[in-house]
Amino acid sequence: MKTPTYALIDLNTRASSRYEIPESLYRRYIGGKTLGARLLYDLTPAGVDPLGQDAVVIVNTSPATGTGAPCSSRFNMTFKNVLTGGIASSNCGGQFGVLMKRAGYDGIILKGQSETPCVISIVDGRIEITDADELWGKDTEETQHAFPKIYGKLVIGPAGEHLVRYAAAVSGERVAGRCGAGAVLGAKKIKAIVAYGTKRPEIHDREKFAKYVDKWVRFLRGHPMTGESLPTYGSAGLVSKANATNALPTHNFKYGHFKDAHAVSGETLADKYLLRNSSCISCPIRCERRVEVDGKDVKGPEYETCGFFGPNIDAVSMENMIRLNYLCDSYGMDTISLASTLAFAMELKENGVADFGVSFGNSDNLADIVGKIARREGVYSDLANGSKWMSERYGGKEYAMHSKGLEMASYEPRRSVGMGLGYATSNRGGCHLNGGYLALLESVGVLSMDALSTSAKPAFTAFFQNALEAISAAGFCLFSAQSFVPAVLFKIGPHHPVTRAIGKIATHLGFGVRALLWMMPVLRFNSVFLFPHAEALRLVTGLPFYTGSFVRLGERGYNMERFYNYREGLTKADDSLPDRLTQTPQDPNNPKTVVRLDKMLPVYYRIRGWDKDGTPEKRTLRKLGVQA
Amino acid sequence: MKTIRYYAPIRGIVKKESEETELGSVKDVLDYIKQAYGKDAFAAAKSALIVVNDVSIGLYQGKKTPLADGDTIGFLPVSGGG
Amino acid sequence: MPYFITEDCIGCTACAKTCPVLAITGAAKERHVVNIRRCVSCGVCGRVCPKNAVLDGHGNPCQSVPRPKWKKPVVDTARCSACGICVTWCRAEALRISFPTFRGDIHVFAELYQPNKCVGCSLCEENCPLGAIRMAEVIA
Repeated sequence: MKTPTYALIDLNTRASSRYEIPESLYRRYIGGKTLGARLLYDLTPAGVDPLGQDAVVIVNTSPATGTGAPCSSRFNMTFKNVLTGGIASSNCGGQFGVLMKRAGYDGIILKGQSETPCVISIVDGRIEITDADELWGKDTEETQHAFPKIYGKLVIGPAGEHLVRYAAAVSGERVAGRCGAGAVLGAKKIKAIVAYGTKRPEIHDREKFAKYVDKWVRFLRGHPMTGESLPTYGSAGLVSKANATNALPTHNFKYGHFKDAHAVSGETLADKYLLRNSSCISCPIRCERRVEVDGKDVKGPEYETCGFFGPNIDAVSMENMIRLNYLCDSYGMDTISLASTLAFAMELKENGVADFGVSFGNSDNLADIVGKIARREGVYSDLANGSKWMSERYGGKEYAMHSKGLEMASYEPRRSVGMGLGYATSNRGGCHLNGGYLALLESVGVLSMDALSTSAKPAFTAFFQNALEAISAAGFCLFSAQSFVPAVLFKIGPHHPVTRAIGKIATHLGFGVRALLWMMPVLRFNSVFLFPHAEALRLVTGLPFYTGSFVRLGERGYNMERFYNYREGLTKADDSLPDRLTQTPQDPNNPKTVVRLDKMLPVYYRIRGWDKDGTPEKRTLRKLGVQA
Repeated sequence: MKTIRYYAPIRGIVKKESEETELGSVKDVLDYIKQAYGKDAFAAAKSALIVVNDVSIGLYQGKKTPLADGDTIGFLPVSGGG
Repeated sequence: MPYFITEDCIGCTACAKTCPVLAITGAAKERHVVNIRRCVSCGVCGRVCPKNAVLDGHGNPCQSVPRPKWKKPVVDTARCSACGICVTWCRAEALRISFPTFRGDIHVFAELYQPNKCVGCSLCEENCPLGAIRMAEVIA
């Protein structure tokens, strides 16, 4: 069995060597974030400084990366989370992963720190580290242009160089945004990693795989979400949907509805600013936006950016939002953490606590301030540390909208309580995707479970956390999972009695999903309707991946990440949400509009096979094959 | 006076972005669309995400939701994101 | 099997300029060299060499082929999903994803928008996961 080829790169000595991934590890963890979590646990002791000499950064791909399967450009960065101190996995659709594989490597492990700025070149199977003094200080666009067009690139901008805690790493037009991916590279003085080669990926059964790719692509193109909605509106289409269910965070998550949301919605973006859609390589969904601002053709904003540079700071200018999105990509910064920290700073000003020159409703002065944050100038260095740090220094913990230190995404959990549980339990912090993305089933999707009911949410959360983890581990974009919602529901619409009935039934299906989780290994079949990724992974690797074992792969990865967090000292206390979400009803007239984390968490732990402190029990780890 | 806002795909069928109305409920507006623009428009309207003042009718009284003066009823495309 | 350049090479640099994966290096008027780790055996260098100085992977001398006879990609626009794989392989930048024909048009596809730049390497055809591209001779 061909195991993945990894290289260990020592930044101190600038030497690299082959790193063997044993077959037993490969079979259980496969690649991407799941294998990344295992390696990070094994290669680092507890308690390292995420930005220090002993920190390790893993940049890796999955078996499906670069095979031509739909939505398979994704690569992963695993590292110790700069914002939370736990695990971090940052995913990106840019070309770097595909080209690193073509260059002959499935993953690289970065150790130590370079004394001076450097570039790592992975070309035709050879790895070279060279000085990059002339690139240090440049923004990501200029840095990328310094290399041949055909190369895959992963670069940082000034924010990563200045160790902004939510600095991002950029690859082409896409971004490994969260948890400080840019900062950990900046701490190692890695300005850029570039790759080129012509090696083709290994595919176990080429003929069957090609046929399945054909079938899957046709299915995606025919589905209302992946074939029409996402290409037409992109993720930005969600603004009006979240607003419609009062789940659009507004005024630093104080409210869930913004009366001017229309001005910053996906429909307005499509009507007034959109030039065309575009895509990551190998993707038929094509959700990327290309928009025009200031006479330039630039990448357009995703939903999170629309929410955080719009309603969450009470701003209504779409043009400012597009400019700020472009700036964040240039500086190399996470738009979610940045804008959520700005909202926190605005509320500090509103409450007379501190004045950073930012206030709700004003996005005209932000371009300047974002630049100052990227360079840690003066008092703006505080904002570069994120909202958790700021709340510990200035107060306001009740409205610092993060979990574990990572700012939450643009879904108001008091109108989507399953998402609230997801935010609190997500391994990398307040992430909607690592959290199971239940908002799709409670609020913004065509199908709506009762958004305020807690009964089935723990089971659904655990199931979807596992599923999304598996999809990421296999190398696929999570948007490819949007097709699991049956197409017929889109034809009849969200208000049709059938759609409403399914939502009602799902609300009480907790025990059903629990049973499903328990009997996972029995599900030895694959369906293009539920997890086509499992079949694709099976044909690429030759390993027996079926729906059951596929979701189990996700469960294994999820527990591995959790176990890492436990080793790093994260406890049940960190599975938390700010008081604003658990103590203050969003609707003063409806006491149910809070997140009853206290009710859901114990049930969730039991379903997960964790003890009452949220620690994975030994028998759970044994069942999954996760050794300490 | 109330306003009806049309988005894709119904916008392409009725060929308008918006119009004024004095009708009193969501159901009345749906019936009007059927009668004025035909079956296709009605099907598209029924399956859209229907909002009153940007809030889903699912959070109000569904199709029975009344429309008061100054209200806007919108027919939004159904979608999701990330 | 990687291609090979013999001592008949006069260093005209035509191959280095057209190689789709930048696998050929050499100074002007000096013998050029193929990077065997990178060569994808597409045959472009062989077709373009005026001195028949290129041997294919099996050691056979390549015949030069006049430019108008080079094959070009034909895209089946109904099958193409505009995934962009072909575009990223095309170093000549002869391919791109088409532009929308009306506002909101999402049915775009790969198109040979600069046919004169195409070197006929077939990497697009080879790497299309849906088999939507076929190389064909253009009958003028």
